[in-house]
Amino acid sequence: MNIIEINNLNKQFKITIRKNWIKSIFKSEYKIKKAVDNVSFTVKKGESVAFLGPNGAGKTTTTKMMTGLIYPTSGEISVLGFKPQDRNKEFLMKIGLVMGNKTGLNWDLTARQTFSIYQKIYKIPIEKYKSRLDKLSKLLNVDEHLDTPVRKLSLGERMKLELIGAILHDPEILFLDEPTIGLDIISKQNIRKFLREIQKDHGITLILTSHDMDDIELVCDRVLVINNGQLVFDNTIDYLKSNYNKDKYVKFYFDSIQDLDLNSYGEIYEQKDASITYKVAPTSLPQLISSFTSKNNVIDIDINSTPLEEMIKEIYEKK
Amino acid sequence: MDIVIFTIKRFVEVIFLIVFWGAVSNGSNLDLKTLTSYFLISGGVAELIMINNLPVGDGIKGNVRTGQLSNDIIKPISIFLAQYAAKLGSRVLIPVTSIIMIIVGIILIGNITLFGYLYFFIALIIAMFLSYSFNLLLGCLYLITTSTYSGITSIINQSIKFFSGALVPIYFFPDGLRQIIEFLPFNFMIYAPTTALLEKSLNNVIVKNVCISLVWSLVLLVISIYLWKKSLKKYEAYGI
Amino acid sequence: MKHMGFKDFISERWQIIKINTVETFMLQLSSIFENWIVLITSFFFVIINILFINVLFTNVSTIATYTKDQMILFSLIGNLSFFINIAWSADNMASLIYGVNKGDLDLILSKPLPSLFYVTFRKIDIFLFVKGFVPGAIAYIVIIKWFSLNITFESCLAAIVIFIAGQIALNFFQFLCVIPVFFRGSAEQLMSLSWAFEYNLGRMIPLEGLDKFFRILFITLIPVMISTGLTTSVLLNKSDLLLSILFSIVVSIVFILIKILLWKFALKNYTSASS
Repeated sequence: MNIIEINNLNKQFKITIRKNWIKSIFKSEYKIKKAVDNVSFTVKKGESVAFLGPNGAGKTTTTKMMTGLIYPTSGEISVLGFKPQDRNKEFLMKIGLVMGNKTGLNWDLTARQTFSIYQKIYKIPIEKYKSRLDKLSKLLNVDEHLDTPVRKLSLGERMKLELIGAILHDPEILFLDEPTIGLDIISKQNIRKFLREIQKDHGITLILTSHDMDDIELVCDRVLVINNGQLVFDNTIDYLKSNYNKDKYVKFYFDSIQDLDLNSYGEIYEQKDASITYKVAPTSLPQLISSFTSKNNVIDIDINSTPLEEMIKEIYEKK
Repeated sequence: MDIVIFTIKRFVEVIFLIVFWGAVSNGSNLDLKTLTSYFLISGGVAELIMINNLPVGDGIKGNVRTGQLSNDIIKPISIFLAQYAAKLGSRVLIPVTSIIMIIVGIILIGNITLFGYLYFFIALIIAMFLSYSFNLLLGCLYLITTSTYSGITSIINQSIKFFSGALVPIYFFPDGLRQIIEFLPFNFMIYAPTTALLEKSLNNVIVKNVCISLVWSLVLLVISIYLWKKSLKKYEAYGI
Repeated sequence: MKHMGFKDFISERWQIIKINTVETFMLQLSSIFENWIVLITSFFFVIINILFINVLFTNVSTIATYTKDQMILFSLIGNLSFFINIAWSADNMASLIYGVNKGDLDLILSKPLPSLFYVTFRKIDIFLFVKGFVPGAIAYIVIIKWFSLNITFESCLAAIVIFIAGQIALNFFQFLCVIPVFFRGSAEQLMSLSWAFEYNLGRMIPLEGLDKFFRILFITLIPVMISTGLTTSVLLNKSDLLLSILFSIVVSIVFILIKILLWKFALKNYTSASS
């Protein structure tokens, strides 16, 4: 059963160009920007779907249209059988939204106070609310922070509480917009683990946007890659990884170069003053490192998987 | 666009004062022309020295709220001075309207001596320092309370307006009250520069006024800078 | 869509008002220092207002047919209007600007709430009203010589109705000044323009002090004088009671309708601050 159906969705923004301030008093000039360009896809119940794309690609805009925050310029959206932009109450009762860079919790109140307001807004039965809050806060290890004013909490703690706030009412779909942005590794991992759990246990459908590949690998089954407003890839995460995320990027840092024939080690991806990056298959990784370090005076090594931009470039090339 | 709105606002305020005094003077023999020139000049002065609505101090409120202040604190600049400069820069057209208002007022008065202009200029500079201190003090308030209540600025503002002569020329006050007000710092911000234009030559009252206002501006500057430094320490950079 | 009964409609809104009042109250308790500042500054402000009127009346005998006591009463009603307005309207409208720019509105819109109603009553600050208005009101009540004023029971009732209508109108006017934030991204200057009107005209010149054109302008297009000038005028039996009531009710209903339409239009054009 499809709970989200999107057909030829478009969103255009008018951007004011400020050139001449005298002119701008009387008349503004506009430029049309296509934030979302003819996107179509469907999501089934219980799926965990990620929107992947660089900044400004249109993932957040798509999410905002699915939650009814902004009106589409054209195209059809149906979420849970509703038109999101009608902002039907039954619809809003069934969704939750977390935004990594915005706070839904009131700065000056404690999280528990804000949650008790949510309890009334979403009309959660009081018993259910209590047990659920108890369970969730233990699970995320934040029960000691429930009674601290939100402004005194760290970003990681706050994010966890935001997350609790968004799922207290047991939504059918949870939208997450860059939920781990700015967090440390441990907090990120905790949140990812938690998201996976609630998706598996409660059957919540997760829609996540991120530009962090790791978020997506650990939480989602399916990836939609968006670039310049267009949907360029729609498949499982395993497919993406096995087809596009094959190469490793090895970066060597050094003081000075002893061996001048750098090309002999493999394909050079990038070269800067004191560093050089090679693009290699994982199998030939150990050999590259040993031969390079034996001939050059290496200070440090970084090994990375394929950057997002490369992956998108590759997707385009394969098309 | 904001500039247009601002000019309208300024215009409304001056018109209001004139209408108000028109209503007041209906039942008496107050001279409307003198009052009009008074309010044109005092309105211009208030805007020039940035005492009207304490824009710099009020700006701190917004910056605390958005967390912008945290960004500024880490920069190797004097935060408040930077704020002051930024406000001056963003209000380019406002001094122009203010100066036009002052010029119209001067034309209405007519017959101003060179000494009048000189004294006006000196009083204006002293007023600027005083206004700087008041802005700074309001900024302190927003640092330590992290208040979001917009009424406080309005109330402080109205009080300053009342005592500084922006609402009523101080010579209307009954004697006892007037003598008190003449010793307070407020009247040196608006009333003193505005009436300075009417002075013909140096006299004891002027010397006295300049001395008092200089003392006030020094004292207030020291106090406000000290408090500002203290409140910065108290400021909790909340947010990210 | 399921049809929602009138009872549900009311009870939901009542819930919101209750929740927001409690929330604001909890917020206010957290800043003791600020409470004292508000109390002292606003009391001081009342004293200044009374002084101001006294100063005026040393120079003239009446202002626009108002005697000194009538002017002080006008000032009292202006103060009441001011504090009621900031307790429920001005701050909410100001935070709407912030909400649109910083995207906080997103999180309100994604909750099952009647959004316009919620945004309008986001904060209801009874405590602010108490600490800001009450101490000053006592001073006013002590100073005014009540027996010299021509106040009747009917005029009192009429004044209350008109005052409420005036508050709705004031809120509408502030809303009108804030709504461009959806299209231009800023509205601070317009907001301060609305303040300038409210402060200067609404609270200092009696309705009778304006000529006919301005009198009509400031109770219709720029409705800052309904809850102050018109209310006082009616309370003192200086204006026709029934006509004024009828007028203000019609005006406030029109304002509410326009407000709802504008909100729908604004949400259609809402672009939501990018991350």
